[in-house]
Amino acid sequence: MTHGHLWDRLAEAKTRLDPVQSKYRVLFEDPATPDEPAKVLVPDPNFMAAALEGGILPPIETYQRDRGVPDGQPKEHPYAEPIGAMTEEEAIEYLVQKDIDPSVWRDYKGNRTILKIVPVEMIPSDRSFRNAWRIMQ
Amino acid sequence: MSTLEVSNLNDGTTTVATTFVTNGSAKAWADIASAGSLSDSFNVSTLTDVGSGDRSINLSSAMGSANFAANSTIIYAHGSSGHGVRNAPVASKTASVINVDTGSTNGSGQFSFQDQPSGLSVDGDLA
Repeated sequence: MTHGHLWDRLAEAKTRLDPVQSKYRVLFEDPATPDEPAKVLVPDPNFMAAALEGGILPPIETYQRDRGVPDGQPKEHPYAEPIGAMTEEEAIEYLVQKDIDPSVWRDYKGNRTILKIVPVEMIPSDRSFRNAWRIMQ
Repeated sequence: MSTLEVSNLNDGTTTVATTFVTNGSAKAWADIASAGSLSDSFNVSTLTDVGSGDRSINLSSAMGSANFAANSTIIYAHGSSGHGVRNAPVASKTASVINVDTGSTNGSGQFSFQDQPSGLSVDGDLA
């Protein structure tokens, strides 16, 4: 049986999988814009359900190779053979590599901690000073 | 689960390919709660809370190019019991990331609406 297009697999998965709210968030800072506040990556509940189920999402390497593909050119990730089930922690690592620029999680050589995976409870609920958020060193 | 395999749809006079219907459906959507968490969605991998009034949506299955339509609205309390709806401008987009400005600065320089619930719909061609 063909594995089809990723979008079709996601549509089918949404009809049968319950969403999973992750207990983690990813805090990160962009070394190219040090004056900007820390960003918070929030995993999507349906994406998490697909990751934990397996057989839906493509290998992370396909997303990374597609970063270099110009607009309008064929991309690899929608048609790649899906990978198996992940743990929640593996899914968070997958999302870091998919949705955060490699300059943050791979290439940064400075002394500051610019990426942290934290429990959701550690994200302040008071957003009054949201644009002053920094990662504690 | 049963599967219905249909290449064309006919209403008695007009025939269209089934792909005409599926290609015309929204390719992604998201219901974003006020604190920057996702209530529900489709074809979204993550939400990035970039800052006050600044959110990015990352798609699971990318669009074919940055040439697609993305519409975003915010919902806010208005008066004692009602709600208002405003457009939230799409600040930038690539084939896989849509950045939305949910905040608004009024004539007095006050910044508001930045952390209100918002919705996003994406239409166009997939990669």
